[in-house]
Amino acid sequence: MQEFVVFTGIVLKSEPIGEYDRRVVLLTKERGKISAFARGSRRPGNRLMAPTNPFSFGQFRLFAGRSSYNLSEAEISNYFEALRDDFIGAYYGMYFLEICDYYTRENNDETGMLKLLYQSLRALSSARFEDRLVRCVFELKAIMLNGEFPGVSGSDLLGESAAYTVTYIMNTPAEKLFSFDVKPQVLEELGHFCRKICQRTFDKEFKSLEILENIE
Amino acid sequence: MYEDEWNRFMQTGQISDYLAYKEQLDTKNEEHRSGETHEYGYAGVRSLYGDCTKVGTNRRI
Repeated sequence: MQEFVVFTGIVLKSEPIGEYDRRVVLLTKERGKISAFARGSRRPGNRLMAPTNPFSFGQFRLFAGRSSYNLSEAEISNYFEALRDDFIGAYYGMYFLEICDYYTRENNDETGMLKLLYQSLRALSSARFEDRLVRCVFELKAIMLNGEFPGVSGSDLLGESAAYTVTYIMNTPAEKLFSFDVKPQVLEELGHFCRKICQRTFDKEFKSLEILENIE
Repeated sequence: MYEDEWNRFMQTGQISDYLAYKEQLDTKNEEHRSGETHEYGYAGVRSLYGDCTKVGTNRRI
């Protein structure tokens, strides 16, 4: 008898397999990053077609096969539709998904990254926050959550406000992260600081970042 | 299918795929809008007590 499991998570990646199927990579609260097959999800009108698109957040009902999970049903609570209207927002979102894919592992507790991703996508979808600020907050917090943040040193030449912002990001849980705004000059400083930290930390080039930098 | 086009854009990151998605979505919305017009045309006999094809709406007891 097949044993079903229900995981809460978000689709990080989706790729076509064969004629009608898809393989999705999910970041889940319960099992970290997992991959699953969604059979028939590319058939027109299939109920798994929309839930297997990247950014779909909700509950996924899966059954474990011999070597992988198979997706049977999904109840999506947020598709982050707003990101589809604005392709720059979509590129930022894609960049966040790529970072999550880079940092997370199967069977690890990735709740922190999942919460950060969810809150950051919400902030991106909202007109209240500038995309560049959301990006800085996401990058710094992701690096902090994974224990790779070196801290602020004197050579970073951060002004008082920018240094305070970094400390705030470090000490605030993901749920409350997006509750502030900064002046353009502080955002500029933060942007430089984040770029430096990211270059030092990531040993991979992100496809969406290349496009984003060209657009910006 | 516009979901397919969106998925392709998410894989490739190409702006041409995004434009293809938008085009598909617009076509879909156009079809949806024209469908609504037909539906309203078939709304039934108009009466002071509301639309008689909708059971229970505006019905006075």
